[in-house]
Amino acid sequence: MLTLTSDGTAFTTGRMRFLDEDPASPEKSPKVYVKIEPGDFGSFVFAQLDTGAAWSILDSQIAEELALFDGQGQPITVDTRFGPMRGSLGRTNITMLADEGESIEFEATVFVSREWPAGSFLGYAGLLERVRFAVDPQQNFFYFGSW
Amino acid sequence: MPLEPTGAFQQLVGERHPAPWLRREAASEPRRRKLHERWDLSIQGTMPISIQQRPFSLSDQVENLAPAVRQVFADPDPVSQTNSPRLGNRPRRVLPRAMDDAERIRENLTYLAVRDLIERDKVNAARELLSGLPLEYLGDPLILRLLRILARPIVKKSDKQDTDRQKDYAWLRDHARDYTGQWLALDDGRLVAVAATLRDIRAKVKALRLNHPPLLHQVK
Repeated sequence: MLTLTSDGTAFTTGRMRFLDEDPASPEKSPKVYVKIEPGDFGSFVFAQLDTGAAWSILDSQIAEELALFDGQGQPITVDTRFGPMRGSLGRTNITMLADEGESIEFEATVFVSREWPAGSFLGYAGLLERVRFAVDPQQNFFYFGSW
Repeated sequence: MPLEPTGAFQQLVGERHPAPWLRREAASEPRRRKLHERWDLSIQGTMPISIQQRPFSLSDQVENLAPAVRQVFADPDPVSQTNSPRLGNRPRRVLPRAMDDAERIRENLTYLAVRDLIERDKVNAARELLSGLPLEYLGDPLILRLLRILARPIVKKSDKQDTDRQKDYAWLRDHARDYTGQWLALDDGRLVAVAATLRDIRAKVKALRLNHPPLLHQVK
């Protein structure tokens, strides 16, 4: 596996192939969908990389399965492309899955809302802020590692 | 300096508790204004909510703050230990606690201010505000919850591993449109289960006893 280094130390330690479009979505512009495992789900799902988002958002059905609507989170209203969204911020485990090299697991902060109509997103605060990553759009490789 | 009629706590508790604690709170008004200026809350008066950015519902705030505000008036003042006669060799140590009303109100204002910063995506400013709090504030459950959700992510290596999913991606490109609204489970380029909800498809996948975790995807 190609590894990225910075000053001789590992910059990224894992690599996965990402999906660059959601085939059934009306939104056709290229995106970066990476594979994650929410909690100990036992199966993997896609999450869209969104460095411009302040918070990560989990699909409402995934949040339900992880019991993130248990009232323990911090109530908050987030401005989204669907308008202001009422929900809560909570902590949960998310694993970023490597096809080669090391996968990494986060205890991350995510926003969840029963009203959220879209899928899962990985935002900056509470998750990507601890990830080094690089994208190879030629081969759709996503390189990642923690710091 | 008297509190303005639109002050957050005056609205929260109405006319029920007008006098002593409001007088004490009024004394802390300059400090609170300084706090607001420092953190660029861009507000007028004492309401640390970004009412200019989105519809504001005071009832929402009251609902969320009700336990903390009730606590302000529910807990009696502790018996002073420093004024007790010295029965032993040394007086009992008095742990720092935010017990008086003004301190509790400042805690609640801090909660509102941090929450406002979070809602305006000013995460680093919210973290900085919390990191500067006195230790005695950390006993407040609302403050603790903010500290928890604002903590930087904890990262560790995982033993979990996946494989290259090119075949699954190709299947999605070719067939996903035929399953609008459904959850799909894919493994090695094959559709292994379909269901209307995530809960149902997880149950189906579990029953299949696959050797490798499948890739789940909802066709929106």
